[in-house]
Amino acid sequence: MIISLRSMSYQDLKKQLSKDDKIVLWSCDTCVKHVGFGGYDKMTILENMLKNDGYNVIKKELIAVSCVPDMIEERKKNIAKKDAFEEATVIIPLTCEAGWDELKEIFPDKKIIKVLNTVGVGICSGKRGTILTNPFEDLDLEPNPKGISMKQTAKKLNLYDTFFNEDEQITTEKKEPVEITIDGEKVTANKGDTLLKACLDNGFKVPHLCYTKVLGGDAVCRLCLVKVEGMRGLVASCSINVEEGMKITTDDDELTEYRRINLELLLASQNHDCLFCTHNYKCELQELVNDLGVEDKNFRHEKGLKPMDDSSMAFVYDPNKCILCTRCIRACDELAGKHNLALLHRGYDSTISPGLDTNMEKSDCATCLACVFACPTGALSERMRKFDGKEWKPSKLHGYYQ
Amino acid sequence: MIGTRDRKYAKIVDELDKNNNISIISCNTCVRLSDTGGEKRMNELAKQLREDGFNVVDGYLITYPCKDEYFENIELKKNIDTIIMISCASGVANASYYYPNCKIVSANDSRGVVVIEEKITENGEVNKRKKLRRVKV
Repeated sequence: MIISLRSMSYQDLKKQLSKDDKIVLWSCDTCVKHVGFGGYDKMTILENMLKNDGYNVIKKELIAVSCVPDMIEERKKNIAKKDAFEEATVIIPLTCEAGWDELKEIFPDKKIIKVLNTVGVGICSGKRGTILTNPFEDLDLEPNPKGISMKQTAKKLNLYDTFFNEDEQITTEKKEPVEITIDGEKVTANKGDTLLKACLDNGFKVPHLCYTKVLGGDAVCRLCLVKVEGMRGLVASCSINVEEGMKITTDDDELTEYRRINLELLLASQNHDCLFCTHNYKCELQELVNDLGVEDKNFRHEKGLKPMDDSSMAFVYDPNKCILCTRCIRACDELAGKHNLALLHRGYDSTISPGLDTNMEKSDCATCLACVFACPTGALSERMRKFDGKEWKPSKLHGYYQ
Repeated sequence: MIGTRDRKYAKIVDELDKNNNISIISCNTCVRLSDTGGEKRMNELAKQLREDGFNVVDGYLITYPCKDEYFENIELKKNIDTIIMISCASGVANASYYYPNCKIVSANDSRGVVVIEEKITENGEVNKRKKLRRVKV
């Protein structure tokens, strides 16, 4: 893992900005996220701090990795994003120095403010915290297999071991606050946010599979159904925007029954054999099956098994566990910028396919794993293998969510 | 991306003994992208060592040896006394934490933080990476 720490105070960052600047926040979703100085949540903290102080943040851009220049170039040319990048005057990268350096090359006309210093490589550990094991040669630190804590490293190098305003909880800025009623309780939400986001932000539990905070929703899993007063039928809350005065019901017997039926249909659509799945006990679908009390399959799975695609050296795609939530497609579009995955065929035959219906290896896949870590089931899993015996025979190792 | 180089086979063998019971663990991220590790190199190294009379018992391909949880899923056989790590220096350091009673042999030299760019030169060669800063090992 590449270890970076914060190099400037928030006050010093503000000194480099003007109120007329149009700011893009940019973050990797890999090393800096694991070491606690990047990722979507950290960008949101910085965005809220800057906006509260009157600065004009026009875009947050999350990228799987910034050390692959092609991925940065794609952002610059992407038809949906290039206007914001052309308009921007400042980019604040939450990346290691490799990413910062590439951004300087690819956006030479922008002010790229370096807020993180990269100090070497190390380990992300649940028990030991993040530790630096091998510092850069030009730093006055010695390699230490046991690791140097972030606190010690920061002290020795005169850096900060926490993110900007670390103690502050992620605040959901109310851009255009409106009052709505959820399950009889009056709450405020942003006009224009989805109902699902408003419910989750206000602490109401609504089941969902195709929605994530980073990727948004696609209204395909049909599990986030709610009732909205004045609207006909049940609505997918990830597809309806908040309006002033809405009255929403998120929990009653009818909703639970419909959600359960939809979940059973998702289960019946493929062959979900949890016992032999690498994601057993780490699966969002399995968790919802338990939460919603699905105890039996009322709809039979009648399709044969589809062939697995294990051509990629980084991950395996098992279409038999895919619920077609499209999170992988959106991760490939949004985080990798590769646009390599798409839905192929129709109805029962629908499947996720790379490139022009080829396999992962032959496609334009960057093996960044953005799709794998977005997948809520075991359909996309890390290529983890154990080899043994005279024949050096491979068997599966269980994967992990990040 | 952390850039690495292959250590010469002879240097790896120098640190091994024919009586060692060896496991190989390979990273499947940075070293794979640097063409210095991953499944292919692990299999090649295991084959070569076995042909040369070393007792390579098993091998593990894991995504991030620089993250604890990936090691926690490896159930190493009790007779293993030597680990060959195909990873950057942080993977080697993590292996020495998890297997304090094993000899840890690194199959790679860590170079530093690099970016991966694939540009084809006029001679048709693929210029694949650019070094930024070296790490101490």
